[in-house]
Amino acid sequence: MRNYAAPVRERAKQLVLSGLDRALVARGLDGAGVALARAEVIDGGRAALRAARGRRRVTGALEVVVTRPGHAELRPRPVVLAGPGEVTVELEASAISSGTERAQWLRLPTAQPVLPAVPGYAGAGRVLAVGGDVEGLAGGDRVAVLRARHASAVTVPAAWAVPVPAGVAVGEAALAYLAVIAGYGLRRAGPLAGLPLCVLGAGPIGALARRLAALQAPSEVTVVTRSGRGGARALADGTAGIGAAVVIEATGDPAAVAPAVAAARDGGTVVLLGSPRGVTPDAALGELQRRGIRLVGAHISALATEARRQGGDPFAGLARTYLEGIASGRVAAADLAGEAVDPREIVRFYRRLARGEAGAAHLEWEAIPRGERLGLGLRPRRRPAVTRAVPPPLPAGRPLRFAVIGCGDIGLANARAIAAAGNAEAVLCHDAVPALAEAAAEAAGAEAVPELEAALDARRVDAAFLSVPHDLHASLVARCAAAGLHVVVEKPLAVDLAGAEEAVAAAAAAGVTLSTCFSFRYYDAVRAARALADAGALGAFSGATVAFHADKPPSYWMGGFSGRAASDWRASRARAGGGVLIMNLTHYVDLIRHLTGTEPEWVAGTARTQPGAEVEDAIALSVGFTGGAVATISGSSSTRGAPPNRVELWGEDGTVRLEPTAEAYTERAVSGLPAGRWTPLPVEGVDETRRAFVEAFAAAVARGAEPDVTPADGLAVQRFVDAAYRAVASGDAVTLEGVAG
Amino acid sequence: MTGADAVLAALETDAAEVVGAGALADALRARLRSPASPPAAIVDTTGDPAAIADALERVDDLGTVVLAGPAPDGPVALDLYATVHVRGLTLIGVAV
Repeated sequence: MRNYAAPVRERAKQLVLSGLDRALVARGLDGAGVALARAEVIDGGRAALRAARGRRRVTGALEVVVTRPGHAELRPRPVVLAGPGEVTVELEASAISSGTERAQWLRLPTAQPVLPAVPGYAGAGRVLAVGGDVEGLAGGDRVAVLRARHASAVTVPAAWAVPVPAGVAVGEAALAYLAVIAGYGLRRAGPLAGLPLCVLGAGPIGALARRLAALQAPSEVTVVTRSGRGGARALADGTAGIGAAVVIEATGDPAAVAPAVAAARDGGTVVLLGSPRGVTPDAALGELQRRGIRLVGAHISALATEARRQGGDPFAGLARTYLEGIASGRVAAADLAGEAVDPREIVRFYRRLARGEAGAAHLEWEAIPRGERLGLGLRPRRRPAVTRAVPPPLPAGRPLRFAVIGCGDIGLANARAIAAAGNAEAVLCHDAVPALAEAAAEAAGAEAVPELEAALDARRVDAAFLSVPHDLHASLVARCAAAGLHVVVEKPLAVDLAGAEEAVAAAAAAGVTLSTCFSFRYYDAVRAARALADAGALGAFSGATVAFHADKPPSYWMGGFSGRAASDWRASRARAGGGVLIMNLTHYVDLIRHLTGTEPEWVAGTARTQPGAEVEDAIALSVGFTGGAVATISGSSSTRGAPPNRVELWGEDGTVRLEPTAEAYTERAVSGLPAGRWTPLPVEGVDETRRAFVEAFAAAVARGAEPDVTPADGLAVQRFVDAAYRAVASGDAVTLEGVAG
Repeated sequence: MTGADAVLAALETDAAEVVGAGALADALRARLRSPASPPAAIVDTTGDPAAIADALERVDDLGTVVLAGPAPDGPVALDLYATVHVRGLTLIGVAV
């Protein structure tokens, strides 16, 4: 009779899975994203089924998931609490198998697990729940878990949880499974008392084998390593003549089998303890035969076979030998436990491991607050908390009174921002075109004045906000300063570096506060990015990409975007100082400096100027920063269709993307930003950024403090602009240090 | 001690499969019981790397393969990971 059930079941399974995949693709997932989401849906379903069948409770835990090659992250997963014969353990540490996990991270030919995959093999922690029929374990007991992936909690067969005696550190306890492997290798070798022993390899397995072997008092121990450091014999010096009765091959290198055999005395035993993945090029069969040597395999799966055939619990027995050795001081393993790694920084650790900069280590789950690694409702936070830089209230007295000088498009926006600020007031508005001043005054609740001199009346205003053509900035700053007014200049600080230096000097001489309106700093996303950068989420600044795309219509060059103020100054090199670089990209140059704390050192580039035009239409720059970071900064005023801008900055440990979407990624443990995944940053409108800038400036003036955007900031950006234009003109890279106004 | 004596001394069982033909193989077959399937022990009397690799594949987990054929002169490449290591086999050389 044919069995129809199995094929039908398989077909049904395939239908469900393909339907699930289609649903996930429809949600915008692809490739690794589908595989991960599918695995999590299946995992969650299985957990729910197990919980329902056994009437068991479920909690949440975090686990390390390698989602795609070169990427890992902490993902929440349900953990069904212990049922019959089981125990649930809240892991405090999970041991890192440096060799295996490095091979898997690099996806070496013999170590390519199907992704997504959860690495790890053992850990230690405290019992969280015990199945009803389990004896000898109770909640709160410290246990070594012989099989556990990298997770903050696991439910395992009770036989895998071995009590840890007092005096054993959690990192040492997490090595119990490695000790079982090493101990099994020794057991396969037979008695060692009084016999010469040789161990090839000084990795964790080799070191544990040597230290556990010492409990049996061999007559002598020879250690052979590739480097020959630390008193070991160098492999390159040869192993013939060592004459060991027992040789433990723990390098895992297939090429080390022949040297291991050579190290054995006639009639001796060679134990293959390290995993010699791949074909052994020389199995030394002739040596084995001529000298009567035994070659014995000692993989942990062979121990499992032994246990199945013979009964008993050899795993726990070997683990107890190790743990009691540690507790009694006869075995040392603190160095093998290695560094404690915050699980949120697993990718950073794997990268170090891949580069050979890390060795023995374990994940320290207690580094994560308990509420974030255990319990129901573990879900990644959608957005990190943002600490808004709300300026402190001004001292008792009136708000900072502004004169708005220049009331074109940006002047109008600035007038509105001043009016909206909680600690500032737009009092006077002036423009060479009276109608523009009147419109701005109406919008901001101010008075329009036709004469500039009247607008700079220090009896009526405390500060001036300049939104005028660039070539007027320096002279107007000087006039305002001379009138005793603090000054805000719509970026850039001046038409060129010489003008910027004049402006800074004039303000300094008059003792007034000068700032440049780099309003992009006040986007919530930028504030959040700055907070994350300050917290170390990005690490050392490595690079940035800025691609600015505008599609400015011909009318822009005759009157701005709105056409309210007819003027062709934007098309004049003498009046504007340049095109898209000075007009738009200066915001981003300031942002990179602001977020990274580095300065541009050199710049090279090229630009495109349309026939008959004076200012560049498009520019592409390569920029080097202090510390070695590099950036590409490009912009175009005539990008048809105006595709979204792209702004990304990255460091050794993380990346922040500000446009087209605002999100961040880190491999460091930073509060409020889950490691290993992209997390959205908050977004706020442009009007709010100008209001925030004004409030911060007014607060700084009230406190007698430096403004957020200092005169030095304005100068630095101006110096960059001058250097960039020189680089474009010369075709050579220009060092900023040599650029003078 | 004959070659067969040396092999029997190395084996920890009196049941093993013998691979090869010749006097040594005949002597061993005469003194060894047939093993269960898969065999817990295989004695190779050929010295042929292919036969040795085949024996390592067929022997039971935790089993033993005895090398009792002519010793190869040069290096012989074998997948010791999947056989000797993972399955806990023992490979014993016996000079005959």
